[in-house]
Amino acid sequence: MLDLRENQRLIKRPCRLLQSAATLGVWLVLTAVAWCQPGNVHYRHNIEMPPGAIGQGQLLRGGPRPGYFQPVEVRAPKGATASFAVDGNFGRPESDTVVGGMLIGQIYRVRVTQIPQNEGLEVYPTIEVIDRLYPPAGQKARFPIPIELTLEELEMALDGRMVTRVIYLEDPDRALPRPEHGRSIRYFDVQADRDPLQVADELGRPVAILRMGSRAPVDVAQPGNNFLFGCPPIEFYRQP
Amino acid sequence: MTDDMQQDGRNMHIMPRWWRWFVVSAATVALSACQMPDNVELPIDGSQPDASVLVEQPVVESPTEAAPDAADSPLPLGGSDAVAAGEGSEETENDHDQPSPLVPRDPPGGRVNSNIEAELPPAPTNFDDCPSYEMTDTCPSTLGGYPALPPSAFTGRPGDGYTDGRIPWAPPNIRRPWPRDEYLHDGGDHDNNVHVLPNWDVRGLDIEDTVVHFDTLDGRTLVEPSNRVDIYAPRFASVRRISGIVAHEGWSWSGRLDQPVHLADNNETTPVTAMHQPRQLNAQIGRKGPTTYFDPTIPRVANNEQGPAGFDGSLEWFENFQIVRTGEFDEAEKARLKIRIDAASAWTTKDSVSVFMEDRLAAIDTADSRPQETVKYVLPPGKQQVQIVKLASKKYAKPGEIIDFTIRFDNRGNQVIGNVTILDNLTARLEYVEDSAQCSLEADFFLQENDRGSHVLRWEVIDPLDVGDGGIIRFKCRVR
Repeated sequence: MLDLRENQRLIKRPCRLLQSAATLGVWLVLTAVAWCQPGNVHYRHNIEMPPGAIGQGQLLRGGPRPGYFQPVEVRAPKGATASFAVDGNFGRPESDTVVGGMLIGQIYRVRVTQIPQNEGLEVYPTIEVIDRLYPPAGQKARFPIPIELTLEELEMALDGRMVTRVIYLEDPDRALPRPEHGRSIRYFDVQADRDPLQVADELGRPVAILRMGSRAPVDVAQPGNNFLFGCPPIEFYRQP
Repeated sequence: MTDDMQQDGRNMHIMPRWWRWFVVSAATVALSACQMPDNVELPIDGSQPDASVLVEQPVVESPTEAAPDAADSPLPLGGSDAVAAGEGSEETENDHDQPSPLVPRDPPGGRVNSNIEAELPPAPTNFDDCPSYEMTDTCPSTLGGYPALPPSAFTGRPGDGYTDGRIPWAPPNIRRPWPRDEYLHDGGDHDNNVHVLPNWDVRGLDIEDTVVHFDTLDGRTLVEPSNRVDIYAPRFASVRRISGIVAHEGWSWSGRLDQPVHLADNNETTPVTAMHQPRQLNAQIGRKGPTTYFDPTIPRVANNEQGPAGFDGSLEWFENFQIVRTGEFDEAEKARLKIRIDAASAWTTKDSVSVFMEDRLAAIDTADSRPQETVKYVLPPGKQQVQIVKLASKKYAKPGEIIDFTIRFDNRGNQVIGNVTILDNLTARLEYVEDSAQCSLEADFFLQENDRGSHVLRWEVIDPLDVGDGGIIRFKCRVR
């Protein structure tokens, strides 16, 4: 009888050791997991991602984003003209300010011509809407996302530099107590090694990205589908 | 020593089994809890967080069993990829009435660059023509031609962002108006913590608060908040980065060749050094400025007492309500009043002070039945109540526009009150228009700077307020 109990004890001892080792292992593993949890936001998106990737990622979040045309107001310098692409060609440039409804996650090419002191040269920036506004009914076109193209930036683009602007919605709790002057939109410069998308996310809610360089179509009359990013549909509004 | 005693002696050196399992379970629960990012705020009611603050959070992956098309289709990286995405969704487009406006589709004769009039359903320029969508409990693989959404991200059928009642869409169980960053708010007591010290110093007056405090005959000082007014006024800014192609080439050379000589050459010629923006620090200063610029003791010193301003007795169009004219709430005006104030529903008959007496509802005699029981309420002396209502002339405004505010206050108790003081702490984006303050009663007006770069408006009514008496305050603010 004693031999039987001794055998049982000998069998249980390794089991208890195994149990203790398993407990210790669970402690170590879970502690390591908790230790490795990031203490700050993990930014999965960055400004270096291909055009459209950030907006398409936003669409996956659901809500009333798919199919919504977010009004965007493009403001070129006085004297210049801006136009959107429709049916594979740019429309007739008429004024320095154009408003169009854009889909989230699509890339829209804009043509800017008659740039002051640079007549004959053209710049073709792109706009990507990555989030939308939720205005009261009937006020959709009155509150577009403003995108300003300054003369300084247009000349930088003509010189071969790349200008990236992330437009964000200000957090009212962090808003600067300064009035806006005229048509200009307040902006902050970041160094070339910083991500403007991340900075904009810290200051508010990013809603659109402007990319402007010196790239131009080979044939201005037929820009081509690739240059226009498929020429996505656009919605026009009557000027108030 | 028996065998049982030997067994007990061995068991004394080890922990009970239930204790070991308890420790393991507790460790699992405690350590496997997810750590939330610092800048993500969950709503108080525990509902799902605002999607707008999760811009940079990991994207919810689309499970292949729920949405195989969305999981397999690549993200569009340009024009050609967008075409591929459109082709991938063609199978489901045929099964539904509405084509997808997300990607340009290929017509039978070949691909043609499309605009909305040629390829898409009629654009919802007129909101009356917008299709209405109904919430569904399940998440189908496609919704009327739209790409499938992962079940965890499905919050409703894609649409124009409005419900059938033309109310802007908001996530379920989230307080409206939503999202908060598109609205300015003014009025109410944000944390319900405004109190007045014996020397009439006010504590707990947060930004956007509007309250009235008054003294009673028995020596107490009571505080009553107004309703909250919400104004749609989004404001934008941008972050700019300028980079050059030459700089990128320089980094590539240094990475491949690893020659310090080349690095020195590139450092001399790269335009990156010319693109350092000393103004970048403005962003940091701007964010911290409102809390660090101003000494909170300054407003006490910088009190700017204004002389009694004149009062225009005629009512503006947005304040022509019974509750402003006489202080009495008219049920027929509820719909129009709700447009002007966010919390107009609080002034229904149910919540009206004149109907509620000592937490009991007064009997209401109707035309088709006689009262079977007569209840007589005797209101004990010493009942103090002040009703304060705030209205705004606009529900939405752009930067630079001016908004007229009207505050109506009334003594709704049964006792005279004194030292009636109305305080309005403006948010940073509302700038008080100088000399625009008016009060229908004789009052002293004070202007103080608050810690957000705006102002605290204070009216001190000179004469005591008799039972049933009230007054109107007007002022203007410019939206920054």
